Amino acid sequence: MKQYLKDIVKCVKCGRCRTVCPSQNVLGWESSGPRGRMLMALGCTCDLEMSRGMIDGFLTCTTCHQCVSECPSGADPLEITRVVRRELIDMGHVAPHQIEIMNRVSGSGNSLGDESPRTSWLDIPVDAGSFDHIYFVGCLASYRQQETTAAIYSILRQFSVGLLEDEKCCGSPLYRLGLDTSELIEHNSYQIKKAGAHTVITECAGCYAMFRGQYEFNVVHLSEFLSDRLEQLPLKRLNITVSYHDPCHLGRFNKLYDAPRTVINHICTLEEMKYSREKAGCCGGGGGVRLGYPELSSMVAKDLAANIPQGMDYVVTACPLCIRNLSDIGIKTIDLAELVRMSMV
Amino acid sequence: MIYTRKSDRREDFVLNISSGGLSVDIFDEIRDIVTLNRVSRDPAELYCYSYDASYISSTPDYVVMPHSTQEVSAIVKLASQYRIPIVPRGAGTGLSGGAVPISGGIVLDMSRMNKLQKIDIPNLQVLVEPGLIHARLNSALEPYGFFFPPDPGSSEMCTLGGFIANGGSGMRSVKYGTVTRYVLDLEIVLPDGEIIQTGSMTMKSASGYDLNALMVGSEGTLGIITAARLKIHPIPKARKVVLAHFNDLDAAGRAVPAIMGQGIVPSACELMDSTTIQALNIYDPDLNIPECEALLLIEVDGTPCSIDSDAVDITNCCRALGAFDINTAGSVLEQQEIWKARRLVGAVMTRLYPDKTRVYIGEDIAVPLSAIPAMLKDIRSISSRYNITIMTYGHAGDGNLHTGMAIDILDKYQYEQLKQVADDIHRAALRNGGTVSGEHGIGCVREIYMEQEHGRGLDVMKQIKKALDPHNIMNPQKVGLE
Ligand SMILES: Cc1cc2nc3c(=O)[nH]c(=O)nc-3n(C[C@H](O)[C@H](O)[C@H](O)COP(=O)(O)OP(=O)(O)OC[C@H]3O[C@@H](n4cnc5c(N)ncnc54)[C@H](O)[C@@H]3O)c2cc1C
Ligand code: SF4
Ligand code: SF4
Repeated sequence: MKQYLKDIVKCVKCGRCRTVCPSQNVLGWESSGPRGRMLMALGCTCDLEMSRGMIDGFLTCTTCHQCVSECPSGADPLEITRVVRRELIDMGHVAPHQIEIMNRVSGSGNSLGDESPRTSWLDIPVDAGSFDHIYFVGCLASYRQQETTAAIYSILRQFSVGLLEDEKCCGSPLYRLGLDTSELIEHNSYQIKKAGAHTVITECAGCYAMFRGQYEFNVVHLSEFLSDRLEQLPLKRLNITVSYHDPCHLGRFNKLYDAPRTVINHICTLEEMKYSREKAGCCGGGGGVRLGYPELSSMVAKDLAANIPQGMDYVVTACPLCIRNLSDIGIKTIDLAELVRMSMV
Repeated sequence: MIYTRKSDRREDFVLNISSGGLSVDIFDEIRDIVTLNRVSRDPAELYCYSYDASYISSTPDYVVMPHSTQEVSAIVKLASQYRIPIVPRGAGTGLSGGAVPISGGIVLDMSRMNKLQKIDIPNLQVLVEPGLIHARLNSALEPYGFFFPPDPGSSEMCTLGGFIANGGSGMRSVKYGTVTRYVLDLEIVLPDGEIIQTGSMTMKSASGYDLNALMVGSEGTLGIITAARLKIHPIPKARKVVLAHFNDLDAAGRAVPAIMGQGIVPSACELMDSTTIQALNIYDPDLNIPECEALLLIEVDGTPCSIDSDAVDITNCCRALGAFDINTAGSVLEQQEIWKARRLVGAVMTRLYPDKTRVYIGEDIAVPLSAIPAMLKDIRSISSRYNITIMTYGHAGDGNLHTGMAIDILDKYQYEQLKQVADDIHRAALRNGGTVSGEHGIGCVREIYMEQEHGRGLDVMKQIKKALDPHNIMNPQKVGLE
């Protein structure tokens, strides 16, 4: 950890981040918040004893980016947390949920551990031709939202967007947990190059952030692609009112706020949450917290739910973890792609 | 058996970790009071609680998160029985090591006692638990058209308990006063575990000693605040912010008493030097403040008519003293953006120097208004003597100047030099008839100046401490009381 000392001492310990951190807001302890995580990382540079508290402290970060966005001194507790997670693994401290996600991806190529073919939603074989744009579907959309995925692809195909012959998990769930993603990145990059593509279109917030940060291709969010072509799409207006939850990895990570709203406003009425865009809450599902600390995860989701306006038909979002975590506490949550499908004529 | 005190004080550049070495083990007894998930002795947790935002740290033996006054009282009784130090802590944003457990013992994290118990508009007051975050009180009051005026830069993160215990203040204190003006009544757990009230619900009281005032600024050395009844104020009808740019820091310093001399009491009057302006622009490029030697941010509040006429007088006054560019922040949003950036500018300094970290040290002196120009001159000469940039900003309207220095904190030489610089600043403030702390408190970083600043007054403080805390368990080794 010593090589990160300069980054760690960027933290002036002002505590600004403690009030925005969803895990600290629920758990209370300093070790469950960004300043505590920075301090524990500092401790790691000088032999702070390894303990249950330290491991839980680092593993309860939902990777929501709020600390980074608010930090006045330019420190990055989120990245430091990821680095320590990796170091802990190197030292042999691997939590059961880290092992589980690793096994799922290495066994099946997807984060769900689903053994069925990734493109079983497609009724025709993948076109192995050459494309400028490819649609990177993502694990959840491939296995759990198959009808929607097929519908979205039917639109994208009209704009000559292709699919990868052999897509695998983008690596996001592993990366955030400090696990190795080099093979997955290599595999997907090879596939993209093989398809001749320069631009990847994706809808999942995790995939989007992963491609932006760890791959070397142009990345376009599905909402950006669609919002530029709205007049050409076979969409009808729906008589419903929805609220939009900015997924952390799309919003704060990548400042992508407008395109999803443009698409939603084209389809139906949008009512903003009390805190949105940069200030949006966290669903509590990210960073392995949903899998490793389900109780915390659901309490964070409940904190977010307090922001949702009354009487919404749906909460729309663009992240599979947000959908599942909010749905689990009884909020009707749908994917942006699903909303698009609902409005297709 | 009685707890053996340890001294484990560390400074930032020393990164070693000391081990606990408990002489008595009361973990089970604490757990019986608060349940298992609200007490910790995990080494990583203890390490996190060995810090606040100052440069001092020291490891506790236990951290406890009470949920009620009764739990606090029971824990204090236990601590008293074993003579174990007990250190109340809010959000640990204090800049003087006040919440750092210098002699080990129990840190009581009060941040979960955070309810806003009552908003009582007819009686112009609120009842809060000590862990409530300052800014959350103001958000809750806004719909009623009220606010809690003393507003620290740390409003978004500090607790009201810590703010009261530190005798804090903020940008609007020039007109509205420090926190002490707003405390009507406190519920206090004394060092023997007994619970008292220090005031009443009334707007004023001449009944006996002012125990509210005694507890405000006592930095957790006399008792633990478990509830506070605070006065609130209607939000003024209108506010206006004047930005006056100067090419001479002294002239900006002279403008402050000159404005007051016009019979105007601004609701805020903040002075910022060129380094602070750079930091503000880095934090929020939209502010786009012109580069200059000094900026005065002067806020007036009142009615739409009164603020317009005050703004004209302030503009004339600043122009007469050489301000070259004077304008007003238009919208409420613009004003909010400026104040937001100003609040956190101290921490933003780290962004100006990629290889350095801002260390909060010698950062909070205050001098009489007439001594501001002399103090600014002293700061400049200290800066050139040590060849170190000293960012200077602060609540010039009440003579409270903050000084910021950034160093490579892993460099022992720079660190030692920084301490010298801070010492010179503190001594210059005292020479100028000032104080070593305008609002951040003494804690364990400024105690060596207490005798010089207070003389016999310090003996009286020590006697009060002894009378209330004969076993010296309540936040020991703070405020120069030993
Ligand atoms: C960026 C930044 C800006 C700041 N700006 C200002 C400013 O403008 N004005 C200002 O006044 N301060 C300012 N401060 C200093 C600090 O935030 C304040 O002093 C704040 O009030 C401390 O609150 P806290 O909850 O963090 O207390 P802590 O740091 O946890 O504790 C402070 C002191 O209060 C005691 N204490 C805490 N809770 C209790 C309790 N319930 N009962 C009894 N004693 C208790 C502690 O023992 C300690 O001595 C700033 C700090 C930072 C980091
Ligand atoms: S990470 Fe940033 S916001 Fe959090 S305590 Fe450190 S400096 Fe302050
Ligand atoms: S990324 Fe979110 S959960 Fe993680 S430390 Fe920062 S604020 Fe907390």
